[in-house]
Amino acid sequence: MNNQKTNSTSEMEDNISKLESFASDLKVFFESCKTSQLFKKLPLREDIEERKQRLSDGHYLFRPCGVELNTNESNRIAIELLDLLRKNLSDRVEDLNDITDAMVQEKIKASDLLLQIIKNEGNQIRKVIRDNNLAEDIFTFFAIYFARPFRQFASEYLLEGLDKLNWFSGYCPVCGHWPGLGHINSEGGQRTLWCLSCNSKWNFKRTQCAFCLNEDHQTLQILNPENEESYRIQICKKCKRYLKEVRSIIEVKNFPFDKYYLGTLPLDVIAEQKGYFQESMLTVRYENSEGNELLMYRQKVEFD
Amino acid sequence: MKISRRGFLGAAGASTLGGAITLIGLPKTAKAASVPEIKTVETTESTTICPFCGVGCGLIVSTREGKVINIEGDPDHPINEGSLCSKGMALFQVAVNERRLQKVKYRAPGSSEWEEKSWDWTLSEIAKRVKKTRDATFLQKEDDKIVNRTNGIACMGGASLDNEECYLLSKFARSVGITYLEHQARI
Repeated sequence: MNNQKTNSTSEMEDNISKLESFASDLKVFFESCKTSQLFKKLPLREDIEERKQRLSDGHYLFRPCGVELNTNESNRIAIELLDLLRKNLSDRVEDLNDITDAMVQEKIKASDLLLQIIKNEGNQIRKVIRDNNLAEDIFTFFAIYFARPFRQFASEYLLEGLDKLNWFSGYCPVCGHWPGLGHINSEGGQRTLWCLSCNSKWNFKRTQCAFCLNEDHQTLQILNPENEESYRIQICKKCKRYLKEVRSIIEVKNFPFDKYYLGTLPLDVIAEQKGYFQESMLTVRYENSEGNELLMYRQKVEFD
Repeated sequence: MKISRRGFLGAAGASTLGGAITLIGLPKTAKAASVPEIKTVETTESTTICPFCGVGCGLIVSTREGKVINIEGDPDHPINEGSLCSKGMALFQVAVNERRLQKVKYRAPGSSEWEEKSWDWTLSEIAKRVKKTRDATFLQKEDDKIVNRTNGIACMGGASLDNEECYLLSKFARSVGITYLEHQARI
């Protein structure tokens, strides 16, 4: 940018670099999951023309009905993830042990929980949290990353053969969740959105709200934190939601989205202080893309 | 407890993951309330067309408090897909340039000196001279056909005029009967 200065001591960069170890453990964890047989019965995959048609019609691809998960793998992945979190979150070991105990004592069955997460049954998951007296924040975090290898596998499976996504809706083309982070290529300026739930990435118009599709530049603006030229927040004054964006020279395929999503917490704080919000990743979802839940949700947001 | 912004970021850094867990795990909480406000500036991004030539490349213009702070190629524009030529890339300097004249300079016929003039004087002088020339050269009919044109004035659009300014200029030119209407973008 013409007005940009090089800032070698960005506080945000320092913050993000502190997540290096967690990000690297997470990468190893996802890699190990790739070799596993995660599904007994895979998600429905239409032929390529039908999938293209679904996307053109604004329907996301993943339909959890009929999916069967591999129980042994669910248990193994849950334990592996809990170990990973224990290693990186020394101050929350007790909360993590509570989750592990509930699983070992079969108060929570890993494969059932996983199916609930994949089916976006937020109320059921809240009940599990309440019944077992677990810490809500850490359990939700665990739940999102627990389902991630499965959703990620489904994403790769469903997107196979689709080179360029023809996608113009305000949610993930694979799982229907909201975009978590925007990556702006510092050379071409192209914006790519990323889904925390399934790790899908898709190109999206820069000057449009990634949620409600608002294009009016009077109500769609950018918040730039002081001295952090590579980080910004796109705020929509119409739907009151926000998207964190990182301008980076690192190509999308090599960009560590998780690390940047988690490390840019100060941007979330700024957005919340200004009255913008982001829903829980776990609960506010709609079951199927053909249903009217999305419309109802949009209306709810508009009238709230 | 009052903490500075650096203190907050430092504290968040020490337990960045812990903070992030709260971010994902708890919807719409008052977690931001205890944190000191971080200074931000608001930027508006709007799209427009490059004025320099007839290709019509898309641009994203960033403005802050009404002032242009950046111009870049629009990656979503079908013509240029984010790329710009050397002139397009330097467009920012057309809007923000300390060497750009801020006041009207007038050199009278036969004079070698530039004088500073007010906008009021300049606009009325232009209107007066345009009208004088138009009245003197206006042609209503030619070979019994209505033509309503002036051959005494030519209008030339410049490269730094944007799409909307060009529209207004051509409307004006046609309304006064100018037929010698051209633009740098075609040259």
